[in-house]
Amino acid sequence: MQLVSGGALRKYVRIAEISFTNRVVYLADHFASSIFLILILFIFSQLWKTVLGPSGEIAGLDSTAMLWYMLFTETIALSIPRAHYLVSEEVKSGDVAYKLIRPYSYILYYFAAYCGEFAVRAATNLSVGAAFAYLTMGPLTVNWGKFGWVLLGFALATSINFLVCFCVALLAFWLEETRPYFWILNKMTFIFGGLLVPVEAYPEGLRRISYLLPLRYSFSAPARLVVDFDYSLLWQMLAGQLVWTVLLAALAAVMFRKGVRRVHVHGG
Amino acid sequence: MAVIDVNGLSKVFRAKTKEPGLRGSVRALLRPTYTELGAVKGISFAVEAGELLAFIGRNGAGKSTTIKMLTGILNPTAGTAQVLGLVPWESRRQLAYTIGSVFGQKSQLWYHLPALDSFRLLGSIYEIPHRDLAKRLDAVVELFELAEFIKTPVRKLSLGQRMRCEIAASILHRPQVIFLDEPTIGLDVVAKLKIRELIKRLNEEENTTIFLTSHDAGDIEQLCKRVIVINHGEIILDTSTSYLRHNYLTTRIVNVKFAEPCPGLRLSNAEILKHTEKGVKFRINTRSTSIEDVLGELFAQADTADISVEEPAMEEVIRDIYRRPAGEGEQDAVS
Repeated sequence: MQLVSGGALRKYVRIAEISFTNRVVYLADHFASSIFLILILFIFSQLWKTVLGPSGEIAGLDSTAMLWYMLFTETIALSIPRAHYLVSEEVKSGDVAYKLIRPYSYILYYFAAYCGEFAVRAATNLSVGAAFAYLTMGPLTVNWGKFGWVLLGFALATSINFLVCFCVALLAFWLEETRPYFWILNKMTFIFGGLLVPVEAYPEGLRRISYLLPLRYSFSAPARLVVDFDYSLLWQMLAGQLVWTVLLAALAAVMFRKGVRRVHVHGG
Repeated sequence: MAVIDVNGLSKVFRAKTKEPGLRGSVRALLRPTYTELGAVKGISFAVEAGELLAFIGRNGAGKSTTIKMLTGILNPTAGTAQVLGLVPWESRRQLAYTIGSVFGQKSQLWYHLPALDSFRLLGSIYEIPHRDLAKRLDAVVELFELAEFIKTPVRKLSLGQRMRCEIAASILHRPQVIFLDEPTIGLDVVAKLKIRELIKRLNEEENTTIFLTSHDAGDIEQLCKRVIVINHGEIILDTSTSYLRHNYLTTRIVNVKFAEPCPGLRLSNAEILKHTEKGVKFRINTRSTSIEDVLGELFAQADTADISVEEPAMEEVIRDIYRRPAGEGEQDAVS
């Protein structure tokens, strides 16, 4: 993967910016699709109120914190752009080759586009979801002094999610169909990402598996950090996120390099 | 000086084969078999700076594969090529700053945003300094007459307007060579004329070398001074467009208007296509017969009021080249 120099960085910032602008065109659609998030939050707000009552806790989180936790995990999950499907299609059709003759890194191009789109989707989901959570369960106590760490955690979580999806999309170089793998990834995210409940509440075996996977670091850990900031969790999360970002970036670069050799574009 | 230099360039594709039916599918899974397809077979040519060259051929002839190798998209199986002194597949990114490309329906514009947004993005991608980009944008907008719709989302543009924007997008970084792969495909007559005019201006005003593929005889006839014909992966003709137009297909259609009806007209070395009381239309092959001889025979039998001689249409010339067996066209080529 091409390393980015200061001068070249501008082009990726512009790609993210244009991707952001492109999604703003659909702002109304994004707000409309946030209804699904409201539905999930409504169901779980009722569930946690009933199950936990005023004083019950799951992994140290009361019913209000649980709903806010879920808002953040679901915001990340529902805001993931569908760029990986596009990458998968480009690889299958051979159109990836046409991007190779542009002076940018294919991986960084899609990462920048992914970030731009994620920002719009996350902003709409978070604003709608936060309004609902505030009205139904009350405010979340945020430690604003630590908010920079939280943002860093979310930024690295976004990188991990992009790289995981990108690697699955690159399987299209070798496989005819990648949709089943995206389906499996989706289900794994649901469980090992701790979308509904923090992974700390899982039984020992399941928790161990989730600790070995990157999904915990891109969903459960950053969401938990917002609702229950803790330095030991922060360092553990950042270390895990950095390791997974490096590993997945290396994997994506190797897969892409090997895959491109297989590009088999037939001409007219 | 040659800006494109190609020597013995070949590309062989390896494709998986499968027998029909379930048994064939299982067999292909357990014991896959492959077939090799020679898409380009040892072609050689050179293109000088400032040339406007047509690279034509039927579907599957190897023209797009050649362009893909020259732009660095594909690695060749054998042979060498240099574009602006660089080996395309080895220096793909470096070359990207000095060449431009438009591949038919593959858009480089953001569909939901105005073309101006895509142009500014491309300015950043090609690392054009801000002030230079502003000047360049003004020049390109004027050259391609884009002012009217540059702020309209691309999805709302007509195909002709979109293609103008596509070509404009590909020249923002002032490429020395531009590869246009079927730029007029699907356009109406007016839009085609506009695109041709712009390509010509681009070539003349900016001295950009243009490597054009097209199925449209009009593109070739109106734009290019030189044409290379590729068939079954081999170059079968490399000649000037005017030579092709005037000398390649040696048939001429003669239209004669009679002053008096001439019912018993006989022309020994011409093929009569239509004969009425008012006139006659016949085809002669100038390779075996001289026009003067046939006209002499005509004048001996008929009283004529008007005569016109038609050269074959470029489309007909190209159709004839494609129909000929491999190797035959080279006899006529003046490389």
